[in-house]
Amino acid sequence: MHSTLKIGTWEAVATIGCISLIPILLTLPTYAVTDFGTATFLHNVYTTILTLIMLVIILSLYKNFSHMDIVDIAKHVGGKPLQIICGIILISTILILCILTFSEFTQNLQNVLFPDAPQEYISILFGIGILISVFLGIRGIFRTSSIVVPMIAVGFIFMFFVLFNDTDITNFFPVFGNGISNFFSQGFNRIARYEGIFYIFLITPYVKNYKKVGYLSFILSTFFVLPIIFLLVGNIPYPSITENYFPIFELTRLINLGRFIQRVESIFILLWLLATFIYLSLSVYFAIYIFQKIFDLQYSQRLIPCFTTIIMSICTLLNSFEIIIKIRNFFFVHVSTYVLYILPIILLIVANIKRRIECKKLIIQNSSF
Amino acid sequence: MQKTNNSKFIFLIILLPLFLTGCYDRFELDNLAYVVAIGVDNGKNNNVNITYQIAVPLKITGENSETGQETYTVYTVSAPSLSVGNTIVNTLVSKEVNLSHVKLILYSEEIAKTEMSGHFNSFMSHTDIRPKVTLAVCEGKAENFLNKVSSTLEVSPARYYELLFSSYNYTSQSVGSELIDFYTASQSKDREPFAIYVKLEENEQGTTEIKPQGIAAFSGSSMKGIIEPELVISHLLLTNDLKKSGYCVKDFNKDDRVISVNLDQMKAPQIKVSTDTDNPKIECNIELVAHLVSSGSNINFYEDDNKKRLEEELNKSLETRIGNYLDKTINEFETDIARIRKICKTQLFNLARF
Repeated sequence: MHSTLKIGTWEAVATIGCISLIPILLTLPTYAVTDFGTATFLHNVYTTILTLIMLVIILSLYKNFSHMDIVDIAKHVGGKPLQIICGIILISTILILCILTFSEFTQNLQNVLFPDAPQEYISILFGIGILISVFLGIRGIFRTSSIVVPMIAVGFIFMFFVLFNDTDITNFFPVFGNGISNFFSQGFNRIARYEGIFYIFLITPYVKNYKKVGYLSFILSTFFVLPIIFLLVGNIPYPSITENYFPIFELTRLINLGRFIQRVESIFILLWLLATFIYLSLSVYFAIYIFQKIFDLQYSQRLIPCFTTIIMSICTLLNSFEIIIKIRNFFFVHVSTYVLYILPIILLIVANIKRRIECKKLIIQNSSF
Repeated sequence: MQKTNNSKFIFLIILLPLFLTGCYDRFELDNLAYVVAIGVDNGKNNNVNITYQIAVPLKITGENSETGQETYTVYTVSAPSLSVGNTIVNTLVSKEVNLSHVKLILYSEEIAKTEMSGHFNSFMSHTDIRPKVTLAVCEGKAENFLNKVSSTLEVSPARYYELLFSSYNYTSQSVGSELIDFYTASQSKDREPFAIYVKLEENEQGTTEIKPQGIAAFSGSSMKGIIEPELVISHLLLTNDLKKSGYCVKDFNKDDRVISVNLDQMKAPQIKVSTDTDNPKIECNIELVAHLVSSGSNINFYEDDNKKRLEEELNKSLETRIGNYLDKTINEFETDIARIRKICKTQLFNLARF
C-alpha cells in the first residue's frame, strides 16, 4: 500500500463487515449449534460482548500507534526478527483461512448451483477474479465492498422480516443448551467469528479515524452475525439444524411471500458470491502486503499470480468437503482467536510498555541536562 | 506502456471464461418433465413404489387447455430410494425428470404406519424439492390416488395442490403440513410431526377431488392414528394456526337449530404446564373473538344475558373439543402433535434436564 493511500471510513467499515459475514455464511453456525444446542443465540450474544471488550482494549492500546500497522508494531517491539516471525504467522493464518473459505464456498456452490461442473472450473473462475482484483489494487476492493455491503444489508433486512413470523421462540430454550459450564468456558475462543475486526490492525495507518472505523465495523458485523443466528435457531429447531452444512442457504430456501416471491436464494447466492470474492481478494492482498513488508520487497505485483496459483492449487487438492469443514472448525476454535486477537494484543501491550520506558528514559535524560 | 499491457492482460483473462463455457449440458424448459406430485407406497423386497405425477404442459396452456386427468400423466416405479426411482423413471419418460415444481408428497396410510424416516430424508437431501412442499397421508394407495385425482376449477395440477393445501388459512377443517416442519419435528425430542390426512371423493359431476379428512398424528416417524376433521379446530387453536373459521353451537332456544359465528384467534394461546406432580397439568388460555352471523330462532342478542349465554355455550363446546383432542393425542396415540412439550422445556436451564 502506498503511504499516501487513504481509505474512507465507510469503505473500511463495509469491508470489515463483509469479512465478518463470511464465517457465518459457511459451516461455523452448524458447529456452534452442535456445541451449544439451543443456547447458540445466547452464546453469540455472549461472544459479541466479549468481542466488544476486546475491541475496546485494542483501540485503547492503539492510541499511540495509529500511524503503524501490526507488522510495523512487531518491528518496533522486537526488531526485524520478530517482524519476520509475526509476519509469517499472520500470512499463514490469513492464507489458511482464505484456502478453507475458498474450498468450502466453491464446494457449496458446486453442490447447490453447478452439480455438473467440475470443482476446478469453479476455482479457476474465482481465481481469475481474485487475480484481477488484486492486480487492480486495494482501492478497488474497498470501493466494491462499499457498494456491495448495502445490497447485502438490504437482503438481510428483507430475510429477517420475512422469516421473523416463522421464528419459534421456544427453539431458544433451554437457555443454556448443552450445559452452563460448556456455555461459559467455550466463549473466549469463539471471538474469531468477528474475523473482520483483525483487519483494523492492518488498515489503521490508512484510515482517518481508526476508532470510528473500529466501532462502526463492529456494529455492522453484529448486524450481520446476530440476526442470522437468531433466524437460524428460531426457524430450524435443534437438532435438525446440525445436519445443514450450508445453513444460511437452507434459511433462504424458506423465504416464501405468498405465490409472488419464491426461490429467492439465487439472488442471495449472488450477494454472498460477491462478499466471498471481496474476502478472498482482500486476504490475498494482505498476505502479499505483509510478505512484501517483512522481506522489504520493492515490487509486489509479481507475487500476485504466485500466491493465487498456490491458493488455487491447494483448493483443488482439498476435495473432501468433510475434511475441509473439520479443519476449518479446528482452526476456528483452536488457532484463529489466538493469532488474530491475542498475538496483536500482546504486541500492542509490549509496544506500549516499551514506549513508556523510552519516554521515562527521555524524561530522565532531559532532566539530567 | 506498462498500463496498456496490463489492460490487455486483464481483457484477455475476462475473455477466457467465455471460451471455457460450453452448451452441451444446457437445460431447456422444453426438455424437462415437471413432476407435480410424488406418491410413496409399500413395495416388494424392501422396495417402495414411487409414483410420479407429471404435468402435461400442452394441456394446461393455450386454447386446448383442459381440466382433470388430461393435464397430467402418471408413472409408477419400484425402487429402493428416490434417487434410484428418478433414474428408472428417466428411462421411461422421453424428457428429463425435474423435481423443482413438486407441490405434494403423498404417503399411503399403510407406509405411514411403518418407519418413514429413511424416505423423507431423501426428499430433504434433494435441493430441487422445496422444503415447504406439502406432505400428506392418503387413504388407500398413493398410486391410485394420483391416478384418479382431478380438479374442476383448476387447470394446472400444481396450482390445484398449492391452493387446496393452503386452505387452512381460511378454514378450520385442514392443517398446513410442510416437509421441513415434518422432518424437524421427527428429529426433535420436544415435538411430534403431523400431516394432513386426505381421501378422494367423487362429486356430482363425476370428477374425483381431494377432501381433507383430518390430521395424521405421528410419533417419531410412524403414524399413530387420525384426528377427525371436527377436532382439527382444537389443533389449530392450540398451535396458534387458526386464522378464521365459521363455527356453530346449538341454539339455546330451539334444540334443532344452530347459532353461527365466525371465529378469529387474536392472540397466541397461553399454555402453562405444571410438572410438580407425576401427572403434568396443562392449562390453556385461548382468547377468541366471535362475530355473530346468524341464529336459528329469534334471540335478542342486544340483551346481556343472551350474549353471556352464547359465550358460555361457545366456551363449553370448544372446551369439550379441545379436551377430546388432547385426550386422543396424548392418551390414545401417545403423541404430542399440539407441541406442549416444547413449552415445558422453556422452564428448564439445560437440555440434559429435559
